[in-house]
Amino acid sequence: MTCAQLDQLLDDYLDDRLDAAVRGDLESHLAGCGNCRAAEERLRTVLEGARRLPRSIDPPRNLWPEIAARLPAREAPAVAGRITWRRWLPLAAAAVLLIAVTAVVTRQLSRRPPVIAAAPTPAPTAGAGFASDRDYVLAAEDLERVLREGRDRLAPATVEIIERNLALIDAAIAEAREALRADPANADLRALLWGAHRQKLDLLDRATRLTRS
Amino acid sequence: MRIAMSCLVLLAALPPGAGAQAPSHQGRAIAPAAAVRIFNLAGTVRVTGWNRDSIDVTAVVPEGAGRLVFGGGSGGVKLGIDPPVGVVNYPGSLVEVKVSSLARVWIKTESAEILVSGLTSSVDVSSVSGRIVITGEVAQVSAESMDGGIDVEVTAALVRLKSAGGAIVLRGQATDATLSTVSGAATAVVRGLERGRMETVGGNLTFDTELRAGGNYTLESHSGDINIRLPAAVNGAVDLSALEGRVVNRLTKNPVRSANRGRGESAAFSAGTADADLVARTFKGTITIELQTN
Repeated sequence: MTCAQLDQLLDDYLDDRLDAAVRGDLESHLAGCGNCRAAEERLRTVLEGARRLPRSIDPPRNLWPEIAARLPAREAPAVAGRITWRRWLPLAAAAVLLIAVTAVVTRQLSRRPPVIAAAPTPAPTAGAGFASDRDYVLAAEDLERVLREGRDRLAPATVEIIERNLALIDAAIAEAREALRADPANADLRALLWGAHRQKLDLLDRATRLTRS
Repeated sequence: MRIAMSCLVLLAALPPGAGAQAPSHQGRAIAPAAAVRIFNLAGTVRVTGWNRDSIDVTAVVPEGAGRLVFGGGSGGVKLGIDPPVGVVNYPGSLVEVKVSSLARVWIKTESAEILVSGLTSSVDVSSVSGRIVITGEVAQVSAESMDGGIDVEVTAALVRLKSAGGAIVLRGQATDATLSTVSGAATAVVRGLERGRMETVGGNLTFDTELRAGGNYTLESHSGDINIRLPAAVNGAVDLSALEGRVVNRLTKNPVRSANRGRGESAAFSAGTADADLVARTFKGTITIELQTN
């Protein structure tokens, strides 16, 4: 088994969904590969953390300022001729954190069957998952704020691309949300709404990374 | 002679009036599976895998475009063009790298195009607006762009391609592939696929593959059309849902039903051992499923 193959099977391994032969192969590989063992431990930690989360949590509004506070000063002048490796470490940590949160959200949403709402609700919620429409909105607002702060570091053409695509996603979210209000039990609609939210967070994440690079 | 010829080729590839300087050339021995990080904001990055435990870098950096930097050791190398400080518009540089085919390569550009071939381990590239082209037999491919096109023709275990406005094309063989765009079109003509996910908001999706035993495939769009092309012998369960759009079934005789209070359409059928799952959903696009033509 290669590291890439193991990577694909890791989720199923941790969920105890592998047959004995594959599981044996995987564990043999783990025993001899430090990188894969570390990856397995990281994922196990994330999943353990996810299991400990309450059924509803505060949105990550309070998370970002802490991340942002750890970022290096953006006004620091570039030192010609030197490759500032250390500058990337906090950014990488922030990115890993964001990816971990996104991964957990995605995992929760993709694993749990959508809950059939008993009655129409004013705003769509994820029900069984710990994320809700509002959670996504608040997370996006944090990233949008960071993007606004760093916008002048982007080329005008790049800003135009980002804004055009964000507008498209926002319109899709609005349409899906409206439709879900009329048909709150529709699992396909819900999946499309969460998909659009994830696309927005992902685009914002990539855009904010650009402002720092 | 080889280096001289490379330099001539590189010089010829520069745009007219770029004020080209003589190519810089550097090389060193590295571990076969070394990590190689390359950056060049504007111009071109071309990386080719070769069967040697070394890295060979040739760069053409026009006047005012910055300078080539090259550092690291046997296990890892970082190289690229350090742009001039405080200058917004500067000419693009050409960076040509030949590196052990087993190297793990990471490339970052802004407008520079990225051309990669002959690598076998992992390739991770990102660009803002530059075109990305990756070919070869490589274990893992990850490519990300804001607006540039991504064109990947590989045999790979894992493929992750992501763009906002640019178009994505994946051809070849892959075990696990994810293609994601916001407004750009995405096309996957892939064989051997066991897990596939394509998602877009407004772009059109084309998914041309066969359903493998135990395979899982998800296609989602908001307003883009989804075109699915399968072989005649479908071996799996297919579930198509257009909430406010249309479903066109040209593959089987299964009926398309009105759904969602008459505003949308859906179709579902299964055939063969039905141990693969294909789900396609769109809000207001059209889903078309039809026979492969090749």
